[in-house]
Amino acid sequence: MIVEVLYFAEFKDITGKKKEKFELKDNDLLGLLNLLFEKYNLKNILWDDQNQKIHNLISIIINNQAIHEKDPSSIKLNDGDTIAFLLPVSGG
Amino acid sequence: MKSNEKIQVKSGIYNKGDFGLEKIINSIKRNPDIKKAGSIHTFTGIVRDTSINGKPVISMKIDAYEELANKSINEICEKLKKENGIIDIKLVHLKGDFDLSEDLVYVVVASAHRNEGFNVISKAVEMYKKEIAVWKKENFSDGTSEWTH
Repeated sequence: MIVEVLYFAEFKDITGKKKEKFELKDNDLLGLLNLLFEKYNLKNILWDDQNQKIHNLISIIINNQAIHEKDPSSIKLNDGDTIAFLLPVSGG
Repeated sequence: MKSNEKIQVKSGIYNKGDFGLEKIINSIKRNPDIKKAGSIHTFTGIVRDTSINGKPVISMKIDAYEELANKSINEICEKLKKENGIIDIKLVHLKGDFDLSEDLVYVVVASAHRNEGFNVISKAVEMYKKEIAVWKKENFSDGTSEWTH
């Protein structure tokens, strides 16, 4: 299964990319996070170690829709999904 | 009429330099109901030379998740158009790299009476600051930079 991750703001700076495709073996968000954390220094921004879930201030967007669940093993993905992790906004 | 005056401006995210405030005002003046308006109000957000913490800023970058931001901008405009006396509203946020004092965002409101326009333009600014998927990075004079949240 192939999914695409969109990067904005800090995530774009850290990865040096606007977007990136990942091939996943598992069909949940945890598998994608493990690949992201292996490749980039993103865990300190995205992951709430104490509660073992995605940090509350991070918005998870899948196919342009906000997902309110923060436990990545409960968030199922499908082939072709587009995923973004967003920090709080700061308009000009 | 000049050809560039015929362009209808849609609210949303645009690249820096795509157009300026005058084109948005001209667009709003072509609304079929503009004769009901008694005032046009404008807000222009520009790059300030200090951060919220007082650190000297030399330039700014704006990034946007366009699909989400455009959706939120349209929702803000549709909601505020329903307010009493509002004839039309346009909200344009620019993205890219900006120098000090350059324009970042425009809000233009046409209203039947001035108080309705003042009220709605203030609401629109508060809403876009909190609701649209846009981020700003301030570049400081000491060579550091920071995305603000």
